[in-house]
Amino acid sequence: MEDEPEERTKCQYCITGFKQFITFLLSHVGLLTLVVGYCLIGAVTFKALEADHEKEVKRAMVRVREAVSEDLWQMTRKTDIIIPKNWTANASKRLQDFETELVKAIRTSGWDGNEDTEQLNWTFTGALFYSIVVITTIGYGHIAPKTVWGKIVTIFYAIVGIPLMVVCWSHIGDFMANSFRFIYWRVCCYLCTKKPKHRHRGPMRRGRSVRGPPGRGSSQRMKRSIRRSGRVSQRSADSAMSDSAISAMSDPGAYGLPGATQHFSTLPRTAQPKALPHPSQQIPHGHSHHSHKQRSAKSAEPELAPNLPVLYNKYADDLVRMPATPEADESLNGSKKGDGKPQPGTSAQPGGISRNRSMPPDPHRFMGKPEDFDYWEEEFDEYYEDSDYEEEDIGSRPVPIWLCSSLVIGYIVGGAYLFSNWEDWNFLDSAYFCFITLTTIGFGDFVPTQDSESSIALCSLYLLFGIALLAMSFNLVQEQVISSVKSLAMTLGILDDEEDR
Amino acid sequence: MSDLEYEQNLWPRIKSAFRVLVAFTFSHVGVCGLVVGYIICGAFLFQMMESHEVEPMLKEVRQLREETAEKLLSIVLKSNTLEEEEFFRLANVAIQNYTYEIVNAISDGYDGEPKPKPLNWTKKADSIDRKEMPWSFTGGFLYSLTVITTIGYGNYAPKTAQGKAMTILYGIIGMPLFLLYLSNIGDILARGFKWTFSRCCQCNWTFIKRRRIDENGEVIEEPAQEEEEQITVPISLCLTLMVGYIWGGGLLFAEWEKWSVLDASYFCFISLSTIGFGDLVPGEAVAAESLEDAIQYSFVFCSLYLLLGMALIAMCFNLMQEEVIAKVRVCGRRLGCAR
Repeated sequence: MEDEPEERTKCQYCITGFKQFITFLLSHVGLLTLVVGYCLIGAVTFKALEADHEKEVKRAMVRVREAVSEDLWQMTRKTDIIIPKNWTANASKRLQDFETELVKAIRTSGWDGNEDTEQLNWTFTGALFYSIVVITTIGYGHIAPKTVWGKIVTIFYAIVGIPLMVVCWSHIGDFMANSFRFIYWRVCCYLCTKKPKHRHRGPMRRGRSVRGPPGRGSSQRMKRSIRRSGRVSQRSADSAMSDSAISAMSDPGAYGLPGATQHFSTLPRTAQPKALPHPSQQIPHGHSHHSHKQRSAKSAEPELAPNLPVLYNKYADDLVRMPATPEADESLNGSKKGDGKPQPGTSAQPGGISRNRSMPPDPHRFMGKPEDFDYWEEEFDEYYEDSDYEEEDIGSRPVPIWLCSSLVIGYIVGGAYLFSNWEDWNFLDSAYFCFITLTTIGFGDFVPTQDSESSIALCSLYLLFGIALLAMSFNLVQEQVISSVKSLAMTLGILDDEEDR
Repeated sequence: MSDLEYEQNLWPRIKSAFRVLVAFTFSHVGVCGLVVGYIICGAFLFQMMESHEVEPMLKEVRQLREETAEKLLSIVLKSNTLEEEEFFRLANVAIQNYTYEIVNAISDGYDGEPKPKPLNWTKKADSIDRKEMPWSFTGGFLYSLTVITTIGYGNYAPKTAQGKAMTILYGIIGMPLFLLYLSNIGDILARGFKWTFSRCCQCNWTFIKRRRIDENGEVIEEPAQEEEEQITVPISLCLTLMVGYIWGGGLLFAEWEKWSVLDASYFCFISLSTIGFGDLVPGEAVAAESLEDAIQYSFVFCSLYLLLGMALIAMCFNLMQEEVIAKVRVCGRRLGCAR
């Protein structure tokens, strides 16, 4: 009799897992395909709109240049006697006018300096690159639409494409973040098992504010009040958390916004999620929303939608599993739990929610034991250090900041090296180009040579993957950064030691 | 007794009020000030680093022009009887080389000879070469702004190695700061807007509700207070606001910069979406008498427009989120998605 329910749950679990897998496929691969298709459509459209105009401009420039020699010839013919000084003065003037026309052509008409009508900027590859540059909001500007229709279509193309790209990136960033976290903790566990550490240190009150490198004692003393007062400007994190958390369903494989990385995506054994009532604290709706903005103006789009209901359930799970803390009021802004139930971790900084999520689910150890949150946290951190918990969920454990930053920096340096070889720039210029591209600033003073399709393809792949990598890193280090900033602000006395306002 | 209690209650209240004020200042106004201060620092910094590139470029071009003229003269003087075809052949070669060089110079920032100053124009600077202009203070301001908002026009870009390195550092710190600014401002504006909107709505609601209740025969008059918190600003309003801002900006820039309205709206959209091509940037078409002033004003206006515009967009997203989420959720449920 015991086996049947177990089997059923196992079966159910399998089926659910399969369903989720399919959904995952659909949501990620489908999104990618959509984005790729959108870029291709854009490429075709823009090429059709702008190629002719470019050809026309080139022909016009040929005529302009030939006009110069014409005028000089006419000038020579007019006078019987050629006085060198006068002649050169007149020639200089004519050349100066020619320069003005060149400037105008390059700056306003988008001439690339090449008169050959066979070498266009607006080839299919060029237009594809342009589409990518538009919807990633990089906006180099080395080719830009000059026709009226080109501009109008660009506007609408961007209006649709940018949110699409943001959704795609957030999903990919989440996916990569989860995978990375998973791999990291597996590796970490594996390495840790080789050198066993002692399990418990006494209930020292070491307090840590930063979810920094796990396993290392935080040097900062985080008071409870800091976590509580984390609310101030960092609400966005909260809201991001809450909103993104909303997207994170209790079922594994849920993916939320890049901000809301810490879903307990790997909590298969969590009980049936029950919806939590909205916290009684008076957090205006607005709070939960601007977190997105904080995260990134781009990724703030409402991709939460499909995942929205999940958040509540997730917190329900946390409630069930997490030990009680005396800090009943620590459920912070944005933390949508909080019908008075104290939860560890939730009281943390504005990333309280995320923080909560990021805690390794190990309630059993602490069930009922620690009275104060710090102690629990202490245990928790030490727990990280220990190697005994390989079986635990790895879903939301934090990854150290240094690892993520070195990953990003390594990517930029690697790209710099690659581009310095490929494009014949010096190393600093390539690094500068990579940085400007990945942050989507996109000056356009350095662009991959438009002639070779391979360089454009390489650049597109580099920047698409790089931005996904950035999304992933943000995902992973968010709460730690926020908590660091909060404790810093606390130290500086900017934040008050008050209870929630 | 009551006085004492009152006093005892008053002091903590004052303290907490003060703390609230300080926190508010630091969290909202402070961040704005911080961002503006950061941009100003950046402006100075970049102005310092990049302002020295001008003269050599101009001199080079002038020299090139003279040389080409000399070369053309030599072609003309080469033979006593000059044939047309011969001349054109040789001259074209010379001019083509010259064109190539000038195109390179233009891509390096050359913008043609400075326009001759009007006679009554008081000399404010030695040269009004545009290459120098970007790295004036307002040019640096606009540049710093484009870095931290990730717009990145690119018409002014660092040419020196230290300028580039500085840009990277500046961006690393500035971009999160700007995001913080956006979130704060978006929050404030959203709250204010919601409050205003709910006040406007409330008048209508209270009116309607009271009448309804009265018709039922009940004496109770229920003000629609509870509706306040649930009032969400409709998406259409937010969208209208955004479109209106872009359109209004377009009209203004068209007037100021002598662009067409489409070009100006296109510029506003491209800037506010942080794409930032840089093909159209204010300050390029200078038509005023005092060229320097005109460019400065253009930059200042553009910077303000961008700062405010991005805050407004943050606010609109803030406001739209709830509705969009709810609507998508409904859609998702209807479509029977798993989530």
